[in-house]
Amino acid sequence: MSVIGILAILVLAAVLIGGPLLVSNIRAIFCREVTSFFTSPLAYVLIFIFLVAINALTFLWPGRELIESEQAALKDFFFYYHPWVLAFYAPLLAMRTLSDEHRQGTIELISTMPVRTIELVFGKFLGSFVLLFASLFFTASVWISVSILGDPDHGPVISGYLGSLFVGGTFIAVAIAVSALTRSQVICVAVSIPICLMLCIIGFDPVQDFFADSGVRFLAFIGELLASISVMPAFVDFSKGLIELRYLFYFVSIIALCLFITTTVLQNKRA
Amino acid sequence: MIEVNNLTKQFGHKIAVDDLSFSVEKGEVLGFLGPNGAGKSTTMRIITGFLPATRGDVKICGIPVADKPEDAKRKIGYLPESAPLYADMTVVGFLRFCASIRGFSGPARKEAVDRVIETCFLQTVVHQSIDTLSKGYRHRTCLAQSLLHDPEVLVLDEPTDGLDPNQKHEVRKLIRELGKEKTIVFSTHILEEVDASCTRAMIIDQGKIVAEGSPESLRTDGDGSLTELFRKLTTSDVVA
Ligand SMILES: Nc1ncnc2c1ncn2[C@@H]1O[C@H](COP(=O)(O)OP(=O)(O)OP(=O)(O)O)[C@@H](O)[C@H]1O
Ligand SMILES: [Mg+2]
Repeated sequence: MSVIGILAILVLAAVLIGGPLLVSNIRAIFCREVTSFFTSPLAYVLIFIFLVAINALTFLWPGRELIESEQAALKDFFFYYHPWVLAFYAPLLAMRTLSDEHRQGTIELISTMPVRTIELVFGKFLGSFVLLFASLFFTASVWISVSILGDPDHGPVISGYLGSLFVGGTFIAVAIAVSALTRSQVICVAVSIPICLMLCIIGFDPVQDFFADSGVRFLAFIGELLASISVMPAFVDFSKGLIELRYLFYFVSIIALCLFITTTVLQNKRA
Repeated sequence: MIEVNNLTKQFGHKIAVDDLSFSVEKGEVLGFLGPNGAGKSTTMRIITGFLPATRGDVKICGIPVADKPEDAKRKIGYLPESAPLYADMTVVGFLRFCASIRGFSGPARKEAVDRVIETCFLQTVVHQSIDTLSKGYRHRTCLAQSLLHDPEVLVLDEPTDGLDPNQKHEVRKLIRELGKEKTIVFSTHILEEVDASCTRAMIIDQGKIVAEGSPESLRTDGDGSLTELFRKLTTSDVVA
């Protein structure tokens, strides 16, 4: 984690040296991104599938049914699935962002306007992030049902949602970085989903247990290293209601890092 | 005004622009001629800051494009060769978006958008979705975008490509009029356009300047015909 953190600080320094970012530019790009998303029918299909997936996993997964559980804690049933579903959903949300600019050639238009690449990337990120926010908002139906059926602790739910937003934001940033490299949305999705899944799996309890129980010091070290890169330990804490500074720092760093990579790729791609 | 000094652009081993130097003053309209693959679009992309140069530099109104890209880009209006547009927007939505990026807001933005809609004759398609536009209208929408901020420098890559004869005429007239107080570079494959709108023309071949001068002097060099000169000076694919 410290490695990612130090890199992120360097990135932020590099961005600030380049002068202030223009909010009006970021806003214009952000608004275009969101409007364009909702003019395509794909948007509604995506959101629908996301909601079906979350609800189905929460209510129907064999043996873990929320309805039958005694204590109505959302973390074991609802949030438990979030990183896995987001690993698929976030890349689908973000796949068009930069691939489309390259495919349509509008990258030539936008990069000859007075916009810094970092503003473009940031506006695109915020656009996808807001779509993620809206999608997660609709899953609140689960929260409401549980509140009616039982008496959940609301604090962990709120921090759990915060965790989902951060995990989703990280995956969006990963997908944007990948979409800078290819003009094909299919390739973008096919590459980003495995990356996002890896970011989950390497910190997943069974995998971590394997490393910890191996008894070999080297493997244990590898396990810790993987856990520090994974979104899982951070997310699990959030879903328990723990908001830790180091995990906030982790998410912000990894997102900043991905967006910085995207900017660098875009700037050097044309050379 | 545009200053290009010893500009070279290499793609791998291929030299697209070879040590090109020229300058265009305010009030001049430079016609950029040359066979396919001569390096016209590449030169324009470097001028507008889309591509970095391998060697050499470009200054727009004294501002080096490589060092202060945002400042230089504010001075330039650019029509890329393929007239790229966001297919999912309407014409007016697209122009509003571009105007916002150009720093307009509120009534000033509306005014700028209305002005270019009129200049480029887009009134009938204002609310049409861009993916349903005909080729000529797409081209005009992209041209409109380049005029939004009333730029000092205009770089137009084949501005009359795909337009009908009436519109070709209008665009040539527009270039001539705008050229009085702006600096314009435009590329074309239609040699008559040189007479119709340019104060100066330049023929490039394989990234090098092979002829330069006023339309009259070029015609004299070509024994009375620009086509003859063009064919004489540039390498044709058939031979190469
Ligand atoms: N991104 C690129 N990668 C590799 N080669 C390129 C790239 N862009 C252009 N070229 C090459 O550079 C040369 C000049 O291309 P350019 O597009 O500038 O020609 P042009 O004069 O605009 O031709 P046309 O009249 O067909 O528009 C061509 O040989 C082209 O293949
Ligand atoms: Mg060209």
